[in-house]
Amino acid sequence: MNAPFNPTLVTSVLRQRATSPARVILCLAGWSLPLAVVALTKGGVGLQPLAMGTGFAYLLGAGIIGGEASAGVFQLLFARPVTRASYVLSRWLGVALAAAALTVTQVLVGALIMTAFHAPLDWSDAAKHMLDQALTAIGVTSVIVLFSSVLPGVGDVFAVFFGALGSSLVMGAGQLLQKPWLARAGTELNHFFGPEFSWRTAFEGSAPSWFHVVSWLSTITLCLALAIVAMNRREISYASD
Amino acid sequence: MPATEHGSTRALPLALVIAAAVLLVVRVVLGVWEERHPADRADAVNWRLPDAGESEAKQKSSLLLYFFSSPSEPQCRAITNDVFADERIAHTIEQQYVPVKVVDLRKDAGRNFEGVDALEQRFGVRTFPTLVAFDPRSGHFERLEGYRNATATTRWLATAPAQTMGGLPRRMIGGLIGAGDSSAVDSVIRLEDEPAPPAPRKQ
Repeated sequence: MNAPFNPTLVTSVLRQRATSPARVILCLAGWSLPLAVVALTKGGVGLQPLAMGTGFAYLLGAGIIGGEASAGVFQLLFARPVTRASYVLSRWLGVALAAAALTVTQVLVGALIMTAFHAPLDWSDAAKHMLDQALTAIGVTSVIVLFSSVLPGVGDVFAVFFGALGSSLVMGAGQLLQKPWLARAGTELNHFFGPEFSWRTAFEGSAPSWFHVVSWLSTITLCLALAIVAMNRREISYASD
Repeated sequence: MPATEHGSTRALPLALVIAAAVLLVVRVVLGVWEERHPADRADAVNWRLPDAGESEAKQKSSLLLYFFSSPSEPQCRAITNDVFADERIAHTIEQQYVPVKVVDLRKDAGRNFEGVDALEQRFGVRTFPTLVAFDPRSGHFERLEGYRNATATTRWLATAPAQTMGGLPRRMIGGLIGAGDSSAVDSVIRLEDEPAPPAPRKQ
């Protein structure tokens, strides 16, 4: 049986993202500016500004598959014995790991800054915040992978952004019109376009919310499975002009 | 079509497909189950009555945080479970605001207690939950309609005090706003499970 992940593809996506100047600059800004806010306020704002899991997923995931389709990479890549499933899963894993690593290190540095300024900090809360941001980054990356498998270029990020915006509007309309079913539909759509994970919501209630955990896992598996189906259906032309 | 030594390059990973299908079914089942059997958490915020909250805010020169809620709205339950039940967030709210809960009973009881409609009109409340950060000294306020998630709400709670300084003058929304000072909020609103407050003061 073929391995679901191809280490060469994982490292190649990491190398590719690290050699894109615009992406590196934006990631550096997204990583350092919130930390500057924490430092300037001497930790007074807490870890709240360090919520970049979704942002890093967008920055690193934009065009994760669609960009390669537009660049004509598939013709060369799939001439080799690489399964499309392992291609999709490896691209997803590379970006998800990078986004998660960025957000975890950001929260870690933020917590250290707060400690240095003697600002009140509960390390268990910081750990939960890290976990929330990392799992959110992994979830959002999977949604970007799905849309990237069907849209060219960086259309994936626009689709996810406008999908999240549209679902928020549906949710708002449901609340405004006092239609619980519409608000619920909007909420579920919103969770699909932005699969955020919250430890507090999942495990610190009067009872664990397994729905929250399963929703997050379901969005990831569904997006990856659909992305693989979309890639399998894609016809690649080897004809020259 | 090129093939790997173990088969087609377009093979679907069955384990992933089965996991996706099973998780989707479990998600729907759990969603319906949790909707019908909500596990409510205890609200950690010490909500005040409007008149008591207004007086306290004046004494402390503090901002007011109004939580406009309706018992029949699932999103009101969600915001309480996700945000207001959290001890840390409750502590932060108590530090930054004087929290006031306003319960709308129109949908459940057909009518509201005296003063609720006036408050809703004053702050342009059209949906539940709605949060309003209000500066009684300047009359400026910021409003957050509906509930999206805990992150968005806590972010709004953290930034609203600064934004309230440049918010909408209260006379711009609602007919009562220009009628007097902030003590016009002294109205009788009975919160859930709380004894009736004293009669309203006349202006």
